[in-house]
Amino acid sequence: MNARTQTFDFTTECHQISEVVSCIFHSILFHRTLGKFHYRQEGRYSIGTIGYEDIDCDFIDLTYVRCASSALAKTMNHYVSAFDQAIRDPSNMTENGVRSGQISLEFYNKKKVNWPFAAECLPWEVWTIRIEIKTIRSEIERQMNREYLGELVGEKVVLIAEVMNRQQYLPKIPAQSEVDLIFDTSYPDIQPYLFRITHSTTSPPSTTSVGKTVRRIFRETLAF
Amino acid sequence: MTMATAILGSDGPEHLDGDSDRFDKPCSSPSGSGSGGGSGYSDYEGGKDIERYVKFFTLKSVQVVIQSRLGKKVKTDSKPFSTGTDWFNLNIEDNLEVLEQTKEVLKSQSSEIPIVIEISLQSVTDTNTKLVLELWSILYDRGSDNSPTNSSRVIYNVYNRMSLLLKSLLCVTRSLPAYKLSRKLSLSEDDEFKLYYNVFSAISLFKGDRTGFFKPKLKDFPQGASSPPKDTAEVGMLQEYIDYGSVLGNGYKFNQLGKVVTPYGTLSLELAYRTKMELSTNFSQGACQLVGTPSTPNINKLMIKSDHYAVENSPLENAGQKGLGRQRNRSTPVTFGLGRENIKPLVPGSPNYGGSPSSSPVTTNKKHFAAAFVDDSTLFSPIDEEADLDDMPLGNLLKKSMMMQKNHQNQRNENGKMDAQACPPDQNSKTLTNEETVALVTEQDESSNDFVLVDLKAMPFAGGGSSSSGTVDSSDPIQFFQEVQQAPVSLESLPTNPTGDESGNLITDDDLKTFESEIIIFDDFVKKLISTDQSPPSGD
Repeated sequence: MNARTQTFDFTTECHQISEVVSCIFHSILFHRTLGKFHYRQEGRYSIGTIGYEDIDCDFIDLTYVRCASSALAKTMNHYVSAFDQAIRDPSNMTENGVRSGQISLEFYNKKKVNWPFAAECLPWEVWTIRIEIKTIRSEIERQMNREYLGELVGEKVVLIAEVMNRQQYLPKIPAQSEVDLIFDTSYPDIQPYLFRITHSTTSPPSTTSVGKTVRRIFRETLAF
Repeated sequence: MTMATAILGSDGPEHLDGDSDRFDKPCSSPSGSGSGGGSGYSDYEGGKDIERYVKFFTLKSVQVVIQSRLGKKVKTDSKPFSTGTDWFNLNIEDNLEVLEQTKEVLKSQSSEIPIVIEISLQSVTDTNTKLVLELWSILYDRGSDNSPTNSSRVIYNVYNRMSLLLKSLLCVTRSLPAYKLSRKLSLSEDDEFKLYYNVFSAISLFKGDRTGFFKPKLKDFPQGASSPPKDTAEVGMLQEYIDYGSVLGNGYKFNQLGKVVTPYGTLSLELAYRTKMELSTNFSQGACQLVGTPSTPNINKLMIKSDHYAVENSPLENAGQKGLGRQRNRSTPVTFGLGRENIKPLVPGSPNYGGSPSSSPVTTNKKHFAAAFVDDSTLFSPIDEEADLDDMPLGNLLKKSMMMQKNHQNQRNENGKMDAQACPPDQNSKTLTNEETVALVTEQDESSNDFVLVDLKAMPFAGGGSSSSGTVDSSDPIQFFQEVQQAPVSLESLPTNPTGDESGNLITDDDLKTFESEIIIFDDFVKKLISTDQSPPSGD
C-alpha cells in the first residue's frame, strides 16, 4: 500500500527548530485526532470532544493551534527535543559545514499477523520536515528571518489544511476489538490516529543503528 | 426557508449522542455496513440531518472566525464525553452576541445565498475610514444532480468532513496577517483603530471564477423585511456588486479552504484577504497612513495621531459616552443581516477602554511632511495642496517632536505606550549608526488631527523582551532624543584647548619630541611587522 507523503523544507537558526517542527506537527495532528471513543453495547460508540489552544511562538512570528491535551504536548516535546539535540550535535556536520536533519510524522495502521511475527505497521500518510541550520550574524537579518519564517510556516499550515480537506483515504472506524490497530488509545482525553515520529540527521550512522537497520529490513520483508 | 427557522429554534445538538448511536460502526463485518440498511434512515431524514449540519457548521464557522479576530488567545478543554452543545466533536465556545446576529442572518437567508463574514479595520473617530481586511464566505450549493441517500455511513462521513473543515478553519485563521494585527491592536492602548466584523448574506452569481459577490444594498431594502427578493430582476435593483479587488486592494489573495460534498449539495469555505495594508482616509479629515511593505503584509508600525498627547483631545476627556461594546448604543439604525450598520466592533468581553469618539471637530490646515524613512515615497499622498513638501532632515523632525512632547509631558506616560518592537528597517530606508530608525511625520499645528507615524525600532530600549511583550518604557526614547538635541551642533563648540587634566588621552608635546627623535626605531619596528605578516606563498 502506498502512503501519501508530503515534505517541507526549512532553513532555520538553531533555536527556531523546535518551534517550526512543533507548529507543523501539531497542526497536522490536530486534523488527525478525534475525540475519545467510548464503545457501548451492540457495537455503538460515542465520541468525545476535542479542545484546542493557541500557542505563541517566541522565535518565529507565528501562533498556531494544537489539541488541548497536555499528554500529547508532552509526547511531542519529547520527540522534538530529541531531534533538536541530534541536529545540534557537534558531530552532525557535513563536509561544507552544513548541519541538517529531517524528522517525519507517520500515520500507520497495525495489521495483525500470525505468530511468530509481530504486527505489521502500514503507513498511510507521512509528513517530513527537512531542516537546514544557518547561522545569522546580524540582528537585522535575524529579525527579518523571524518574520519571514513565521510567514512561511503559516503558508505551510494553510497548505496542510488544503491537503487535509481533499477527498482521500482515511482508515475506517474500527470495531472495538480493533480500535488499537487504527487509533492511539493511550491518551485520556483525545484519540489520534496511530502515529510515530522518527528523525535522522546527516551524521554517519553509529553502531547502535545497525540493530535498527536490521529490524527495519526484517519488517520490510514482511510488509509486502 | 422556514426549515432554517425551525432548526435554529433548537438550542444545540441534543441529538448528538443519539446520532452517534445511530452511526453503525462499520467493521462488525469487514465489508462494512455501507448501505446502512438496518439503521432505519429514510432519505428524508438523511436530508434533514444534513441541512441541520450545514446550519450548525455555519454558526460554528462564524464563531471561529470572529473569535480569532478578538485579539485574545483561546483555549478550550478536551472532554472525553461530549455534551449537548459540542457540535462536530469540537469544543468551540459560543459568543452570544455573534450567535444572535448569525441566527438573524440565517433567518433572512434563502437557499444558496452564501454567508459572508467581513473583517475590517476602522478608525474609531472617523467612521469613513474603513479598510476591509478579510471576506470569508460559507456557501452551500444544492446541485441539481444529487443522489439522496439513506446511508448512515455517508451521513456520518459528512459530519466528520465538516469537523475536519472546522479544524482547518481554526488553524488557518491564526496564519493570516489579520490575526497578528488583532493581537497587536488588543495589546496596544491606542484606541484609534479597532477591528470590526459584519455578517451578512450575499448573492453569489459567479460560480466559476470567484471575483466577488452581490450584496443587498441597505438603502433600497425595506427595513424589517424578512426575506430577500427572489427573482433576479428584483435582485438586480437592490444590490451592489462587491468586487474583491476594489474592496481588498490589488494583490488580494483568494483561497478555497475546503469543500464537503454531501449527497444533497456541496458546502464550501472560501476566503479572500488583503495583502496590501494602505489606508487612506477621507482627505478632508486628514491623512492617515498605515504603512507596511508590500511584500510582507505584516503591520510593524502603529498609527498614532499627532495630537495624541494633547490633553484636550484625549478620548478619556471626552468620555461620558459608553464604550464601544455594542454598535447599537450609537445613533445609527440597525437592520439585521444587511449593510454596514450592522458592523460590530471586535471587543473581547465587556466594553472597555472608554475610547469613545472624540466630539471635537476635526480641523486640518496643516503642513505635511514626507516621512523620512518610508520605503516607498508613493505611499504618501499629499493632502493639502499648500503643503510644504520639502524633505526635512531628521534633526529638524526631532526638534518638532521635542517641542510637542515637552508640552505634553504628563500625557506621555499614560498614552505613550507604543508598539515598539524591534523591526527590520524597510528595504530602501536609511539607518542610523546604532541601527535605530525613527520616522516622524509631524504637524506644526498642535490641534490638528493628522496622524503621526511613529516607527520605533528601539532595540537598545527594548527591555530584552520578545515581541509578545509589546510594551516598552517610553521614557527611554524620549531621553535619547533629548540627549541628541543637547549634543553640540558643531565641533567648534567643543573646547579647543584641553587642560592637562582633561588630556589624559592626548599626546603631549614631550611625547611628540620623543617620537620624532626615535622615529628610526619605530620605522624599523613597523617594517619588521610587515615582513613577518607576509607569509611565503603556499604551494597551491
